Amino acid sequence: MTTTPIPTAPSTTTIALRRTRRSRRGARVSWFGVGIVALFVLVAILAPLLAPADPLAQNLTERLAPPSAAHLLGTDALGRDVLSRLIFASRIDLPLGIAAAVISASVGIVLGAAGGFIGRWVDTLLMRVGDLVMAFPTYVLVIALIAIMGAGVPAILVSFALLGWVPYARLLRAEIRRVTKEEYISAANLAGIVRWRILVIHVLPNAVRPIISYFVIDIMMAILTLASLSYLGLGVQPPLAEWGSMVAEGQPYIQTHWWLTGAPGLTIALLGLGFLLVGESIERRLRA
Amino acid sequence: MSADVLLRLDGISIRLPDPHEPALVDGVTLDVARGECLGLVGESGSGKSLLLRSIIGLVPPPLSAAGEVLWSDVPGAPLLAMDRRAARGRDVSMIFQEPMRSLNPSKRVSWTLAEPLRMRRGLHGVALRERIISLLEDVGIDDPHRIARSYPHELSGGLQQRVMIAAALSTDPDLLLCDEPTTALDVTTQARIIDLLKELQRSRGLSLVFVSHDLAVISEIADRVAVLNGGTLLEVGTAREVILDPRHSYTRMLVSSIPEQLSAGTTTDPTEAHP
Repeated sequence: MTTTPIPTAPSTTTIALRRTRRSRRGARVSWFGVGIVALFVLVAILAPLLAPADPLAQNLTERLAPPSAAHLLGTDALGRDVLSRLIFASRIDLPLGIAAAVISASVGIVLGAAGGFIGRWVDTLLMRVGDLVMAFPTYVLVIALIAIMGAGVPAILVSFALLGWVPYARLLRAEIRRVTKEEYISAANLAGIVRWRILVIHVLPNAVRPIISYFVIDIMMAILTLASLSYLGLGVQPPLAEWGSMVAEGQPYIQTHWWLTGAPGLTIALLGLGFLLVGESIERRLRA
Repeated sequence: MSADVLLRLDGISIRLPDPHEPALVDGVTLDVARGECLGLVGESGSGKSLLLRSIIGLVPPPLSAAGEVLWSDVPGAPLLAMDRRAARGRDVSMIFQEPMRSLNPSKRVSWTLAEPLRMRRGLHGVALRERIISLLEDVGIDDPHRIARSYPHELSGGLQQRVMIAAALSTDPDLLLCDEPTTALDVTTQARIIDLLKELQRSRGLSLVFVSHDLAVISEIADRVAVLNGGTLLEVGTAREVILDPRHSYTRMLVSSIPEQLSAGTTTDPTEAHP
């Protein structure tokens, strides 16, 4: 037997090195998350090719069939193929979620930039309105809006525009106030650059950082909200396939046919996990 | 004042919105001659940076500045109230304490240098590119092409400050305001930047107002020194007068706090002090 090396405590340098190495690894992109999101995007694009059946075709003689070779995830109460409905639902949830986040972000960026850059009473007014929106229970407001506009996609998008902007505006405003104190903004002012150009060219690109990761996570939250509203019957209307409404449709049979609610529920959870991982790795990346 | 006056500060006061608070800068009157370097020295909170910023109207709200800033464009021309908007990006430039904070972090050096040239001078294409390279060469950068392609964070503090000086000089100003431009740099770099500023002052006939808390740095670069304390001007004189024969007890205290050799009047290269 050869001499065993005497174990020594790692020096502080080694510990520090190890820590930086670990944090670098942590700062890497979560390819798992990217993979999930990419998979869903692909499925949405290729839905007609991937789906084994028409998502709307009913077959009442084969209703509530358990998973089999013909119907991989079984059929629902109207005999529609669950897998096909899941696949086609991605064409609704994904674009609507992204659209909702884009609308929230656009409104939030404009209002946040106005508040942060103009300041004074504009800022006070916008932030107090924001407080008001945040203090109010979201779903109560959404349901009130839907009551006014009628259930369906337009009402949902409007409610996202009215309610979703607050976090964007707050994040951006805080960043803008930090950036405008930087001396390169003074330098640009001194160089005689006009005000709107300073805002758009010098301030905004250095202030949007925290918004990017929030945007990705906001897509996930928008999809969740959309699914919740559809579950309540306020969102996407039948017979269109949507994950939230599929959960609702499967609910009466949950004790005997759990896959009717389980499949769309797990699908939402998986996509949410994907967006969350992507959002978090962007966040870590930007912070590193 | 016999010399050709470029800039006259006449009774500059800077106050908080509350009129009961004491003024941060209290009725300072100063002249800057064409081609000279005026050193503004004082401890933190003495109002030296505020005074400097008031020259070009960069006093941060809610503070407000009163008093007159007079300016003479052409040698011999009478002093007139300075049109700050017109002066910005043309007659007056400024460099700052933290070079990293004074360059836009998301833009390449070439972009930062190009912007005022495009916006204020209408330069484009090859002429613009050549001007950027020659500016970088003017501030003593050896490989201007590589530096022009770099982002600020890829450069050392000294290089960043050189780039900042190049940006400040891009519009051929008559007056360069320096807000502690060497404080954030190490001693060696500090000496090089001061040499560069002195060289530019001579070769371009540039006037400088140089703010620092460090009398040793001021004694290296300034022709005349103004001592500020608590927002009031204590004394003004040539660098020699102020350092060798300070009138005011506060100035004597400042002078006694700098190393022996300097107060004895022999200006040394700070690099030699630290082998």
